[in-house]
Amino acid sequence: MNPSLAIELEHVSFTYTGIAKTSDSHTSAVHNDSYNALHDINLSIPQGQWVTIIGTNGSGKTTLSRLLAGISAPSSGRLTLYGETVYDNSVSINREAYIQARRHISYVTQNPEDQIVGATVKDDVAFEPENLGWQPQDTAHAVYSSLDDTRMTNFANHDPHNLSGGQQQRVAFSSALAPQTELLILDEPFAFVDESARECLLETLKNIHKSGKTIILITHHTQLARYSDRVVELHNGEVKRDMSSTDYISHVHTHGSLLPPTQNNIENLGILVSSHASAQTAHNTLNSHPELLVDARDISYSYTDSESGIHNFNMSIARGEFVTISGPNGSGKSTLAGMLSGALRPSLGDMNIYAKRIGFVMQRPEQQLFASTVYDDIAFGPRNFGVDPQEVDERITQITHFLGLESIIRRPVWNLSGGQQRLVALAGILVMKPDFLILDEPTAGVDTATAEKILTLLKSLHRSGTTIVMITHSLNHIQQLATRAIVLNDTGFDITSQKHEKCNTPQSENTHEVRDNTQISASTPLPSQQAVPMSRFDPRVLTIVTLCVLFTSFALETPWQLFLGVVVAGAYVAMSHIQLSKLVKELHGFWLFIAFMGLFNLFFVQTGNEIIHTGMLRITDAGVWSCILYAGRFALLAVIAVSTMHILPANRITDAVESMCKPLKKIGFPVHELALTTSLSLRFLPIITHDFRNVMTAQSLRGATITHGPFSSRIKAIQALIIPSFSSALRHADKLSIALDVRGFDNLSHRVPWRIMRVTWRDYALIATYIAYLIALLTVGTML
Amino acid sequence: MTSYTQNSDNSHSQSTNSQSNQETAESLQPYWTSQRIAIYALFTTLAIVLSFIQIPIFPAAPFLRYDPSGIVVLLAGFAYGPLAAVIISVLSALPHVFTNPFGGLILIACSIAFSVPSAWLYSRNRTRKTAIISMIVGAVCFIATAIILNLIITPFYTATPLSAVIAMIVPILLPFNLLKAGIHLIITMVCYKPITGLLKSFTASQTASRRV
Repeated sequence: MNPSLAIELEHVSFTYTGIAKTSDSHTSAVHNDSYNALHDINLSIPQGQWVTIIGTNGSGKTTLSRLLAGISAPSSGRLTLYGETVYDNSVSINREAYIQARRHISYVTQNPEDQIVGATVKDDVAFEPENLGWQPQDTAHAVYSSLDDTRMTNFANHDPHNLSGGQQQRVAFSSALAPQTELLILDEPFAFVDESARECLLETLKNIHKSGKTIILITHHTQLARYSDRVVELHNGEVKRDMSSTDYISHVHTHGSLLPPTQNNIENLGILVSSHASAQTAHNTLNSHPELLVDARDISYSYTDSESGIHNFNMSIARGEFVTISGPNGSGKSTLAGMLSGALRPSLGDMNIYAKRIGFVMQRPEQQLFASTVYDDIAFGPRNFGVDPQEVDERITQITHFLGLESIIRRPVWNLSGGQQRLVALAGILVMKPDFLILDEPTAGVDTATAEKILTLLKSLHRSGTTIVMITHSLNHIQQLATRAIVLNDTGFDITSQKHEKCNTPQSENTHEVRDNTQISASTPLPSQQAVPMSRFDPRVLTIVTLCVLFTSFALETPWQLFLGVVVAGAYVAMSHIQLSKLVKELHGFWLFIAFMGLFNLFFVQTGNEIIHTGMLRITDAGVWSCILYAGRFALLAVIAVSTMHILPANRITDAVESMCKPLKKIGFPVHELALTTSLSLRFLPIITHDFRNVMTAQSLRGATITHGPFSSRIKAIQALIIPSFSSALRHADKLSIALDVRGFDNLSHRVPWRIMRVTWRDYALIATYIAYLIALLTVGTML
Repeated sequence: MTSYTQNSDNSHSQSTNSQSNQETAESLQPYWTSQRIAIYALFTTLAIVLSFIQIPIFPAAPFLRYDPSGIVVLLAGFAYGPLAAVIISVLSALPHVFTNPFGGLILIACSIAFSVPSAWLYSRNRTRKTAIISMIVGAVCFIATAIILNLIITPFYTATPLSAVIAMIVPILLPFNLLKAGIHLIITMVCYKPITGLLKSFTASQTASRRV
């Protein structure tokens, strides 16, 4: 093979077996239980080239991207990645070659949420360099320079979960850049990224391309072709065109867009529009005073450890309006949509919504699908609201006809393509005839044909009187559809100066100015630039000493010992710098338990001198003391535990335990695997709760209730919650495992953590203090 | 550590896997694949979330509370074998070890006592009947463990002598744990079918996508 080739595919085909994939509306390749996603692909990509792979949903482009990234193996043919023949018909899958080849490749997908494995932004970016066995200093350098490339330096210490979708995508970009791989594969990377961030990321791509890197960009946006050297167009799993980008652009100009526009009759949606809504629009045209549908005054919503969110926001929407909401990533668009739908309650302010029926199309609404067939899933809402079965049937016939879903109506929802799932989910909401429809980027991540269908649908719904609020990044949507456009300002606290700054190359002077500005204005401490992060105490020592302190609390017996315990707990609170009000708030889960333990002892212990004796009630002085002692012990435990979490986040504790268990690795104990499982499960916590809340809102707006109604419908409602939540969790797990593979998971034995754990004088002081505490306890114990 | 590789979850994929070269490739994979780590992390998360839901179910003893996390461990044990049950029991109880050290250790022991015998028996014969029998066996182990540990640990929590705790076994501890095991068993049976159905189609789709 030619050494200058990055990738070579020879007669590569890919067949899905075992799952029935139904046809897209524009393809006809249906087979019983297998279908060809890719057929006889021949493609060689030389190093240093920027290739755009273009295709519609179902054209096989995501399958191809997985082959190129070394995640999936072809069914036949021969695949060579960076000189490693990873798959060949005669020898099958070569796992070792795959592991070698992946070191040259970085992969960024549409949903950044599923690629982030770190607890903070900087730890996520450090993940692959760590796995590659880089020295901590080199890792630190790579982390900060790639964060700088994507303008995310100021977010280095943030929890990625609290960032917006676009900011998360920039984190994913940084993480892909940090290991300095030769090839960067991007699968629809801009789906949830706003205009300015897209410009910035494209700028970064241009720079790394200039430095000789190979880029493969997979997309359905023909506009992105112009940045590349070469365009490969996929159609039905085959290479339809393969030409230089200039030729391709002129080809698109002369032959028109990729897909024929959809033909739909706009006016035939009458039955799907709430009669209330249309009556109101008619009324509105006669009356100059429009009826208020949403009235929000001074509403705020903030997330716990991030300053983004919505602050003192005012908004009113009249019936019949089509309002678009746009703004940069992190400006609070999805938060606002969440509040309008009722998923989030404003933390401050008043919000009144006078809609009869709200329809909420969340980001990636296909997450809410759960029933066994398309028909049953669409019918779920109207059935819950007691709509007559015949009318349900009529409505479903109409909406599926309009969206071109008739042919798949009896099929299971699982095996549809992404675009079809999106349309089914939309149908399941529209079939309830909402008079107020909220959509969060309904066309993100679907191809032009599907997006066109959705837009046509929205246009006709609006024309018939439905009030619509839609979040969108597209200027085109705003011009086409909106009667009013709301543009949110960036309320994020320290990126403001960068947001309006034009995206410059990292080397330019301007960047330094920007950074200087933010260093002055930033309210959180900035990471010491380029340095390896170090905590004040060695996490291992702190973890062990804290565990000892916790267990020692059970040995406290006398008032003086309890007093010493209180002093130690006070020292923990002081070290954690936690505000007292916050401490009290975080302890709220423990109060009941502590109080119960105290009261139990108060009444149970009957020895000692009687203090009160009325009827059944008898309290003694020994009872009072054991009440104080046992309640006190648990209060100390809780205070120390909560403060420790502030000194040492859960992930640092995981690292510490891993480091201490290292000797067990020698006897084959999977220390790192278990530590990774733990830290990933901590990553999953907010993702799964967030998904669950979204599914709950969406399903309850479709009439699913657990609290009342007949038993069978409650069981159905529980299923409507559990099945979509669990299956979306499974999808997250699947994507995350891909991210692990791409990011050097196979290389674990060589991993070098970039956070150095070093025992310093502080740690010796900590141990000495604990020993002094023990001696003091023994001394005061013998005193009485 | 590796002895469970054969019986853990290969049975899910066999029916859908037709290509012989892929089977050889799969059997070469180590136990700790990225997929396994991600799935175990997912179950651990679910168990952590549920372990913080604590409902007093027994009016006579409101300090004994029911937490549904054991159900997740049982389901994981059925799907991925006894080792998975141990791993998820231990990892999901770690947050409790740091806030309530003895309580956390009890949680680990009880959850292992219930799930490991169940998962082991079920892995030998995967039928609905075995599932029920194995959970009853698990429940007996769980109740015994819970009562013994309560005897040891209660004096740390209250100023009660051991004799008083022994006196509580029949009127309080036994009925509470019976009730708890019963709820576990029923909910697991209800969830078992849809959840394994999802896991099966998930495994099938992973097989079909020919992950390396």
